[in-house]
Amino acid sequence: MERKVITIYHGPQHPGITGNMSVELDLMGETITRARTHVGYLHRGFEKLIERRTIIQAFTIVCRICVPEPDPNEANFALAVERLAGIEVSERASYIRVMVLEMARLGAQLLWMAGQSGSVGLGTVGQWSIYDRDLILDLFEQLTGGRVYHMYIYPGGVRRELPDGFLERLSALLDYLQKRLDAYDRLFFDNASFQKRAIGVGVVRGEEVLRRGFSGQVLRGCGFARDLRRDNPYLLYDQLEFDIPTQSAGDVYARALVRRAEMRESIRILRQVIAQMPEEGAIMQKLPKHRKFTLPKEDTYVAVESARGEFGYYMAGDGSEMIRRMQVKGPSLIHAFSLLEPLLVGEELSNVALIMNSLGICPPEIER
Amino acid sequence: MLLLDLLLMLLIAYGFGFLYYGLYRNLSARVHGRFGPSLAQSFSDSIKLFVKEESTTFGWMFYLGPVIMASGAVLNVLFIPFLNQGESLQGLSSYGNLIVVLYLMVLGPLGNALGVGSSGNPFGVMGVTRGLTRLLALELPFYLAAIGVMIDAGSADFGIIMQAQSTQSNMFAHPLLFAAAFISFLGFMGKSPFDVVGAPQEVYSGPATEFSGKFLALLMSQSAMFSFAKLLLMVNLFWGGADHLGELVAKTFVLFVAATFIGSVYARFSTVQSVEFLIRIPTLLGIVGLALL
Amino acid sequence: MDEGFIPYQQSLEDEEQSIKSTQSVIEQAIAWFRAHSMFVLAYGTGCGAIEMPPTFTSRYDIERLGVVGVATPRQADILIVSGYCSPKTLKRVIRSYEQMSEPKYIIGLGSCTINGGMYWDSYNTIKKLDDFLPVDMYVNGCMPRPEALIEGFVKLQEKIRANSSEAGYIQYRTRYAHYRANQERLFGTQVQPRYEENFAGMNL
Repeated sequence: MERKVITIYHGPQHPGITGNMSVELDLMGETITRARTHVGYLHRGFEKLIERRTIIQAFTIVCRICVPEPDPNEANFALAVERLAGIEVSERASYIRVMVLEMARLGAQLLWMAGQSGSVGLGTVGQWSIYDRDLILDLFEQLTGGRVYHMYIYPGGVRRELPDGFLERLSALLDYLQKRLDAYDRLFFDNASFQKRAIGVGVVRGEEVLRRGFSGQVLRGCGFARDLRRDNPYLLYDQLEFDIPTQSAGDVYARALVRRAEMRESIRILRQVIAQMPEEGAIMQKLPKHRKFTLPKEDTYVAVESARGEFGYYMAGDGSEMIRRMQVKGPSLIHAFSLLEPLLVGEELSNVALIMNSLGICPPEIER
Repeated sequence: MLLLDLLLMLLIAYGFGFLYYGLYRNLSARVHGRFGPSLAQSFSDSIKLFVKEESTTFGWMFYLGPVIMASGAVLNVLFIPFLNQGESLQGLSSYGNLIVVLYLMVLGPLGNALGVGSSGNPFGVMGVTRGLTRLLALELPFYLAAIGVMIDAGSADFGIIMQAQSTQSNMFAHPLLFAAAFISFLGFMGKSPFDVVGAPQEVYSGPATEFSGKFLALLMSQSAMFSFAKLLLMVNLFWGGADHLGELVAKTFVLFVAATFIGSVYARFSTVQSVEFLIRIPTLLGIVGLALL
Repeated sequence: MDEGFIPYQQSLEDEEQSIKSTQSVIEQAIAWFRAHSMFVLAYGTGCGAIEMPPTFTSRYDIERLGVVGVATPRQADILIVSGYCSPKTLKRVIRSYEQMSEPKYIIGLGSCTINGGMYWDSYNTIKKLDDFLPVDMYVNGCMPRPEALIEGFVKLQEKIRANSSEAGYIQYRTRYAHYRANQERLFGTQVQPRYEENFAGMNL
């Protein structure tokens, strides 16, 4: 008997999708026979908008490229402009940048944990972890004035001095989070029902993953210790001690374990930053007046390791105060198309949300 | 007099059903670390849904689905005695027995299938398919446990089953049967890890996807009453029923809280996994329990 | 009007009195139930979706007000358009809105729904949501904080209890030609079925 294939759209209006995007699924029963990713719901034309903006104008919108973790965008933008314009950043500003990036990474991992646990119906973890993420956002608010969008890392340094007692409060928060991570281990990572759902699902394996441009937890979950913080150090990451956690299974559970270890590594890095940060020092270099802040006729590519993988900016100047061209390469684009589509074939419908969350697909960054 | 009694039973089931649903939201909110809505929130929800100005329909079969489900729930409530003694709140239990109740429990899902099928929504159909698949696996251990209880009491009549437990309740006399029935009861209540039917991250709301306004209100009311009926059934079969209304509330409350807390710390199985699990562990427990009788 | 807390409180009470005087008891009760049970469609259309999880979870816990997320448009009362809308998203938003059953309300979250916000010169976002769909409550900011969203819900509760004919869904029925014309201007030939045609063959 021939079984009927039905085509459904998983998204964009769907609780099991990681943002405003959709996956077109051909289903036979509940088994997926073909998957196609559809994007374009969030396209705002950032790369075009930036072509007619000066540096300070472009700076205010780059953080909006990726919503769950905006700070790698600011860091990338600042690094690219500094490299083109030849600006050196003080040590103290670099430490503050590392601190902001790691706090953002921790927040993004907690947000991921809410999505991943929600995708298997374990809402309790999400409720807890979003609360804990909010405590990080509170610190961000003290530091930068904004909860979600910070606009803090500006070319030449950072925009504000640390508030009084900030490092002590951060240190206390880290102690708290360290305890909470054990609670998450018990409720989520070591939960037999989550293991039953996640082990052996969405398996990525083999040497081929290196050639196809995947990054982040996808690589580290199948045994390759690739991390830009180690392989291509930026800021002060070559002076800080941290491990790159890896797993070999390559499935959803392996990626979850990698993220679990990364949260602890972020805490470790933050503690080092608190201990090593110089007490005094300029946080901002003297910059030209913003109408005279021009970029030379050169181009560059910078990349940082975001919570989901390699996040890169290509930037070219043309001697004017505008940025001639800026291209964004996020990890989600590759993961959402060339990884997700083949990975979903043969899976059950119930595993779609699980796999999408585990790849860390973030639609605003796919489409800019 | 009987009519008044039946009406009272329905009112109690309706009121406590919604109260327990509100309690469920409150208790799980406490597990989440927040306050949660007021106890009467789900009651407000159902009133609001009843007075919605529009409810989309897909023909007369779509009307019938929720009605059949609701009648299943109502009959279930009426055929299960609330108390183990006295004349009042016995309902129609003298006209039917456990077998009738077990049969009626299947009516709801079938009615749902009829209604959802006529809407033509693929997610609704998927939810119904999941529900029926899971139902087959749920019934096996529950029926085994029920058969064990019936053999033990030597009758399928609720009164006799409850009387047989006057010295020792079935929960302690036959712990394996109780375990089998309790796991399957978690599934009947739609708790994790067996909540595959309306899994929002997978199939929207499953069977309820196309239901709006008063249809959804009817679904909510019937599910509140039905869950109270299931609590009653468990209390009657394994905890020896209740002498008076206070004891009934206490016993159902304990059972309900246990189910809620278990449900909030487990991840959802996929359909195949939950069927496999139910067929393996609780069924095995049930068979061993039967053998030990 | 006088400034200060007491005159403000007085004005709110006056408003409440005037609402009560024009409605019958049953109408008031229905409006109360509607205001205290709001089902929000889970559709994160833009960046504003990032502040929805904190609003709905344990830190801010908007479920205290009776606000719950639901999965499908059929069950929803409130559509939160969270931020910028590209035309492709707007089509889905309109479809979702039209599938919701009345009474239904829209909350526009973020400055982008008011005047384009950060994306005022973008070629692919709409600048004013109110041209295409009737917005009942705007919450401005980029991002609006969860407190602001809660304030928006409280104001919307007041609006629902007032039960006025200004409500968005009534506007959408009575001024459909206006909204439809704007939608057609944006979407060109790729327009969706008219509102009434969504229900063709169904008895409302």
